[in-house]
Amino acid sequence: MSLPGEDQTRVLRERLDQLADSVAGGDRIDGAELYRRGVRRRRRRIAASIGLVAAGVVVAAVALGSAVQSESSSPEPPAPAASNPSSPEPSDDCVLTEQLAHGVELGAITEEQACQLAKAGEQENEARQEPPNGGVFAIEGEVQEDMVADCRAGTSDFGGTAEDIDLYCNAILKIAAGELKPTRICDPPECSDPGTPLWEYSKAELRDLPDANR
Amino acid sequence: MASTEDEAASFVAARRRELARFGFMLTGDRAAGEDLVQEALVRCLPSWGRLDPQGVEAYVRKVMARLAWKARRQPVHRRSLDQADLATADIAESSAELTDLRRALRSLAPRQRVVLVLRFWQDLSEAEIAELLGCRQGTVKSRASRAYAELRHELGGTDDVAIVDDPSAARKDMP
Repeated sequence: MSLPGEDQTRVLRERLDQLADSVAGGDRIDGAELYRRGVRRRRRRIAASIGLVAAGVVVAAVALGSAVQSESSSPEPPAPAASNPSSPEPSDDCVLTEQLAHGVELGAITEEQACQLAKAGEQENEARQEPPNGGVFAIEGEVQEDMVADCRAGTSDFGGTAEDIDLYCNAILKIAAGELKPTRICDPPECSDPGTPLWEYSKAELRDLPDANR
Repeated sequence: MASTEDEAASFVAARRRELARFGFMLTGDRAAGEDLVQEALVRCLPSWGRLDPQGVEAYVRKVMARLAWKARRQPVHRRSLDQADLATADIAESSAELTDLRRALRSLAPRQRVVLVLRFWQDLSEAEIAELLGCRQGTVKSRASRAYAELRHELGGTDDVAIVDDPSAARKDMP
């Protein structure tokens, strides 16, 4: 492999310039609309982030409340929130923690929202019972030759720790060798194209993979 | 705040064509290029008021290049790509060679395409690209070399004629 000479570079630049002129068609793009779409995207992202953080805080509060309740060694079982005349009535199928009940009482959240958050907290607690997988590696679509070459040469720049890179490269080499089948197929909007093969592994699963031939 | 947004909107309105061209070349796809411009604006907006007005475009382009550099490769389905090309009016107006070049550019891995575009289209040095993308100069060099080789391969040639098959283009600007 070698880089082109000066003449080839100049000609390639001209062809790329022609390509950009012929296809980009920037005159048809409304700059103001492009900007507005960017602003809308940012606002959506901020709103989603706030919602995510708020949900995380509430879930953490729920988990903390559950832990505190379970650790309290009262001779009698704690009175349900409904028994407190100042607390709102809980739904039939969910038990509100004191924090959530207080939130409903203050009018910060509706009872329905509190119930959903309580269930989310329970699910979160259940999930914590499972062994942590330490993150998920995902490879979408196909493994490229340059990725394989980088992995073989030890020049991969995926980021992360040396162990992360080693685990990731091991998976890439095994996928390239056809030794690993996609864990699932994904479609838009998760993936850009319908029927895209996806390889998803937790770090623990990657550690369990036998070493690929390098 | 409103004045900052006005400034940003004015900038985009004035530079839309150049940004769209750059986005298209970095991604190999017009829609993806527009998305890249939008995404770069989203990243730049919070600090827009602090940017040097003379350096705004360079900063937006830097963000675009870094986003494209970090992008995961999207699978390429050749048949749907061909159909999309045929359905695009401006492609019909361009030469078959440019269509081939577009397809070849699009088939490159994102990082190869980014380096190729910055090196051979934007005419940046390897050191400048390394600084722009936040990577080692050796990485830029190897990616550029591979990108060029793959471009030649995709265009079906084993020598540079595959890329410069338009003799008039090759003769342009020659003494």
